[in-house]
Amino acid sequence: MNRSDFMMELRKALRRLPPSEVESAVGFYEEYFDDAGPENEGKVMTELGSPKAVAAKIIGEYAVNELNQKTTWRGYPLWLVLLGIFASPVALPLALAVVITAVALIFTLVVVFFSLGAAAVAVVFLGIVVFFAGFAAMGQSFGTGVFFVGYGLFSLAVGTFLAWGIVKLSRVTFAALQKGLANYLIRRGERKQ
Amino acid sequence: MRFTVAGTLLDSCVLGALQGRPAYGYELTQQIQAAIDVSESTLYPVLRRLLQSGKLDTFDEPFDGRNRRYYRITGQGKAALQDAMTAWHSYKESIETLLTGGIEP
Repeated sequence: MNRSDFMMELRKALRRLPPSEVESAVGFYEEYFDDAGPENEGKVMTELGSPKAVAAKIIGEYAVNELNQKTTWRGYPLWLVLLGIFASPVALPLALAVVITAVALIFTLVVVFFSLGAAAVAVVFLGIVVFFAGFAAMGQSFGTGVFFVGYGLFSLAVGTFLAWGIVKLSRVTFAALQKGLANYLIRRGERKQ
Repeated sequence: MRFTVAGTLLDSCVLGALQGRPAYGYELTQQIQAAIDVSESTLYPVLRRLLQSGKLDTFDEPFDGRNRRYYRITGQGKAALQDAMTAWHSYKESIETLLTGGIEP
């Protein structure tokens, strides 16, 4: 690898940062190479290590310092927010525990809502089946047939309403969970200041 | 045996290195490395952090047909350095007390 390869790799590794940050970092290292002199190019690259390692330090610093000063993490990608938490010199186990708990909770909720949704769908299907069975039964007994048609419609309506309700409830729950987690992380970040 | 210099301690060392006169990136890195064992790639994030918090500022000077960015300590940086010196003295004493067995178990 030569200097320009190194700088290209560095730039590439930094591409997710804001352009001003990238230019600032790249500018620093271009000057560094210039001042070291072409005869030291190899030595500098050996000492700096891989461009990815250099970039990782820059991104880590950006995540820890820049994001922890913001009052809201809205607009920042989740990976950068998580990096800011994990890269901070604070008890990693706590952060990890929080994230694992949140993931477990989310998974449980997904399963619960899916089951409820499946039950609602079952009620809808029951309604449809009974509705049509009702028409078939009319031949034998009009009253029974009408009853089944009516029951089928009722079940259909209840099932649809339940399904709608579950979708709404799941949306509200996940939004609240997301907000709760975000607020917790922000408060934790602020306490570290 | 090596002791890791990082975080606020490293920041303070960089401020200390710049208290006399400004320096450019490569020059400053060489100076710091002459005294302590830090990896080359550590310095840029430190400088960025010190710039963000107003303890350093920069100015550019043309050199050899290109630009050279110099880092210079600010008033705020000098105050931070003073605090660091005080904190360091008490820290140094605590460590030495422990290392020399000065604290009774």
